[in-house]
Amino acid sequence: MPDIPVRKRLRTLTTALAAAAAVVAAVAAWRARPQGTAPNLDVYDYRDTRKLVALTARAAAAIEAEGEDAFERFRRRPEAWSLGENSYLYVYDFDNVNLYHGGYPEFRGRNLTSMTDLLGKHPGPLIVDQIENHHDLNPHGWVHYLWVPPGALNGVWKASCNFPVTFPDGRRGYVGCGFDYPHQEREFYRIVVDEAAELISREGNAALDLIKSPAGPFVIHDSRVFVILGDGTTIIDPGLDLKESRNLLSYRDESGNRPLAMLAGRLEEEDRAWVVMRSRDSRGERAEKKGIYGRKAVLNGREVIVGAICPLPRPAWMG
Amino acid sequence: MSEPTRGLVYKLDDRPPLKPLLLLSLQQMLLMFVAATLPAMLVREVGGSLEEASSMVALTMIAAGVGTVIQASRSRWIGSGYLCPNVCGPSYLAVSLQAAWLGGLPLMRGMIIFAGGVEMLLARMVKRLRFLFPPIVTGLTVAMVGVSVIPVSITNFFGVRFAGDSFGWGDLAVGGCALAVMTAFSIWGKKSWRMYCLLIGVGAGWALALFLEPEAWTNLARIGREPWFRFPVSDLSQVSLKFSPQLLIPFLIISITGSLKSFGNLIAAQKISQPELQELDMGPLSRGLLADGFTTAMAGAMGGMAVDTSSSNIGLAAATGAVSRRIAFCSGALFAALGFSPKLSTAISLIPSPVVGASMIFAASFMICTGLQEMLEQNFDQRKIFAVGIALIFGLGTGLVPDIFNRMPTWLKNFFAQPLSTTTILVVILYQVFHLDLLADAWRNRKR
Repeated sequence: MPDIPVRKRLRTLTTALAAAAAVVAAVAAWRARPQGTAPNLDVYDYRDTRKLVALTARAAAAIEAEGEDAFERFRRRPEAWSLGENSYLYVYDFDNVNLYHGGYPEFRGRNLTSMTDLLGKHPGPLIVDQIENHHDLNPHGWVHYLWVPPGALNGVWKASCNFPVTFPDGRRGYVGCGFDYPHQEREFYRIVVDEAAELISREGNAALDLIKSPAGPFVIHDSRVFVILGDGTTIIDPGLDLKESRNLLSYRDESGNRPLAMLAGRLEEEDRAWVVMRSRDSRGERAEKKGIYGRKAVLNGREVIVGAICPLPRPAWMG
Repeated sequence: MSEPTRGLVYKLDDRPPLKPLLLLSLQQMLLMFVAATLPAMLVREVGGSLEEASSMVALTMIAAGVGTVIQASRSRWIGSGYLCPNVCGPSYLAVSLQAAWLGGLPLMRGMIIFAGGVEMLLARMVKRLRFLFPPIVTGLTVAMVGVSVIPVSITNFFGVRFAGDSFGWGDLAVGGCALAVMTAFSIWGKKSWRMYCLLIGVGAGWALALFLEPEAWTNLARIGREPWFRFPVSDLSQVSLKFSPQLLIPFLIISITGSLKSFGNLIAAQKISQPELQELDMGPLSRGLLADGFTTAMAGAMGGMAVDTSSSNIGLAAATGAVSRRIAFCSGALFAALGFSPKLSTAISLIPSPVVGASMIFAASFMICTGLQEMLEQNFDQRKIFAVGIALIFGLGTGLVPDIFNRMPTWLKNFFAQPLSTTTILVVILYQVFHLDLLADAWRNRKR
């Protein structure tokens, strides 16, 4: 064996190790890449959400190609069809009979139409309604409800993404995947506000009770859709149910700004708008940034502002 | 001489040939660009428009580029004469946001001018304050300048934009590849390869990102949509100013702590560029601080965000052994020119964030080790142990348990805003307090 200097041997060894590490990482990343027809993910701020939508779209493609045989693939490699703990796929037909459930296998064959969460929401019918009737405003079928993760006692907020599927034999259903403690994407609030505005314009006063109801699709997390007149008088208040209206245009945030007045001003020129404000965080310790998304609608011939308040993502380096 | 300062390839007054000069300047400029997205983030945070954001980015870049040139100049009044580039100042971000929330961008600009003025006043006094900065204090300050880069570098390295988001294998591969290439070329590369280790690492990381991440390809299409040239001010309201007495205290405090940070950076630049100096030469440091304050005020007046000296760039100079002032002139001019070219600045802004993170980690490593080495060359007695230990514990505590400090009264919270400023303020005070008895003895002996 030739006498190679120690320094040279060390250099070769380190280079080889670095190259091997790079190859392993590259292969891992290649395997984890999104596959199939990719949905538009640009609307989401968080990578978690983009991964969830991509995963669900991939599962939908697998079911459309292989039918129920795809379920066997889901069972065989659950880690490939999940984003970690308490994130799993489920498949139902349009009557809400379970066909496959990655989290609660015992649900298979059961009809879950009548199941409700703590607020009275019916997740199954809500999902079917979103897929069937609101695809244009909610293309990834987002539905929000309280759910008990497998192995837990209490309910936590869950956001689930749902895609319609047509099995090779022509049956129709939907596949979904959700995560508990979801990131609060701006897109979620855009969807509920746009749907509420459409409902108000279509059904007038009859829409208001559904918008206010915690069991409906318009109350998510700590926020519900509000409706105000252009002068700020409340029709549905964002925080209270009062007999009398209050005027929200005079509301000042933690910085002393009047975000709802700003929103009303912006909506005089545009059909929809985002404004930002600062209010206390959930522990009341510090002011954090929030967004208000609003858009115009017509209620009984009068123009109203429909909106919702949502938390906004915080840059990671700010801690 | 400490290891990081050994073997300078281009010394302070050397004239590198054109090709290395351009490549080294490009390398410095890429690192300066890391913070160029801060103004855009600030404008977006307060609900500003895309036009306002791009204008503020451009104006801040122009101010930072001009400031880099001023800093490297060596006139009688202003400029340290060191390669110590200016970038958009992360230290000022929190108070700038506060001002922008309260009175919009005009108030933020007005208060930035005030902060720059304070720093210029401090610069006049710094020559007389040399006794406050013995080597152990400057060493700790320089190390903490490197530590202050950690949050931005780590979040970029893992490609995580928002708090709570997930880890991605692709980003790890890209960041890991860039960092491995940079360090490998820096350790084992021959002279010319070593000089360009950051450029080579950025190239390798970017190439891997194009292979692994479809987003990297689609982003490239954005370059084509941008014009080659655009004047960054389209409306005079973009340079309007406001002031508020309510913000004087927070801006006063941040300008003091920002000055301390810049002082630390200038000390590091001096140590790297002039390793032969036995003790601090306060003249260039004072003129450098004046240049930094002037540039900050100029940035506010022009309509940009506050600027600050860049720790990462000084670290890069140490890593490559290229500290020539000519590199500062050239990279400053290039950076300012980029402010007028949306196409070019967009192209550079597309460097994948894990690659940006890798570059920052690479540069910060030098800052931290240079500072530690400076400190550890001293003999530690009880006084020094407690001055450094207590300052370090409270300083790092602001980063490790920020919730404790968040609940402090606002006026006190300003002093405990970040590890660098907290450590620096505490070590300066404690060092003097723990030596009061010795000072008193010396005073008594002198009287006798």
